[in-house]
Amino acid sequence: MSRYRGVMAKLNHAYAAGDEGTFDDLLGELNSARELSLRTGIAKLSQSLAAALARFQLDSRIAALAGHEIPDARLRLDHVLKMTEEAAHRTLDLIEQAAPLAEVTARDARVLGETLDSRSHSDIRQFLGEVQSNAEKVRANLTEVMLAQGFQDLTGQILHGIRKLIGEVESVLDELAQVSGVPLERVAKLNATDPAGPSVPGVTVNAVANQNDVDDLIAGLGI
Amino acid sequence: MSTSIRFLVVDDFSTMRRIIKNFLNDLGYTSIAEADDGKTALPVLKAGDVDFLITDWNMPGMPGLELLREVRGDPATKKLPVLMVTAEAKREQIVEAAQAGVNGYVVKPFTAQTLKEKIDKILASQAAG
Repeated sequence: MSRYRGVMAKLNHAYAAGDEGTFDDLLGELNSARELSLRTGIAKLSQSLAAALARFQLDSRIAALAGHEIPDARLRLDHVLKMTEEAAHRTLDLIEQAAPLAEVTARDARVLGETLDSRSHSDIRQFLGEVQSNAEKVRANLTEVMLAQGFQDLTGQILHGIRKLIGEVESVLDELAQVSGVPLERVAKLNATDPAGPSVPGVTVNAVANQNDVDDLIAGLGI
Repeated sequence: MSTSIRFLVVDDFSTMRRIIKNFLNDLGYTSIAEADDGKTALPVLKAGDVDFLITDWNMPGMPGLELLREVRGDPATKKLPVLMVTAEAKREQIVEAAQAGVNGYVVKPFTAQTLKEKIDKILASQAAG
């Protein structure tokens, strides 16, 4: 209020003197000073409101990610691991069952071919029955192997979802880094020879392209 | 070539152990032990029941490279043939495994032909050496 004191004194003075022109000017000056401070106040208020809202949105996104979406993604990944493992074992089971049937059929066919002249019709009929039954079992196993590949659809969908989630986490971390002013580049670097799992095109640096490359490299080292 | 060779297959994924075991069976080898990392493999190796080690690299517990170094560092096993079958495919890694004394290196995914070639090559050089 003290900042108005000077103007008020002049205003009083103009009023007492009956100087209408000066009185109006001073009144206008008072008004605009008041407007300016109001505007500055509103601007400050809206700024801090925006910051609070942004912080709140970031906070609630972090809360949702940490409290729900990431634990959820972990469970989904566990499920992917389980499904892929089960499908691989199922496929291996079916192959282990089918391989001996194919082997026995091939062996019996060879033996029969070699001894055909001395074989009776009933021997041949028995062999044909065996061929038919084994081939049917192998055929059925192939269908089961094919069905077992259905895991890829399900695991693929889950992995797609998790890929999206990782993008979301990345952008939240990026925003957090900006808010806190910490640069995002302090990524823990692996040693070049630390195990990092299957090489990924476009990610893994200095990887061999195929087994021939490995063989060349190994041969160059004298092994 | 003797099919009485005793293999030890070390991999943390049971499906991969099963694939390699099946494949060795197909090749006529019947004595195949399994372990899921270096720590569980070491006692089997120390017991002296293994003629040929096939190991993955990236495993929890003790990784394959450390297992290889343990094997080379123990007078009882230092000449054991070791074939590394792994998804690790960086040149530096292959060089490091070679320097640690690996006898062969196969990168996953591999073909039956590749695995057979490497095993045969190692066995042939063992027989010659």
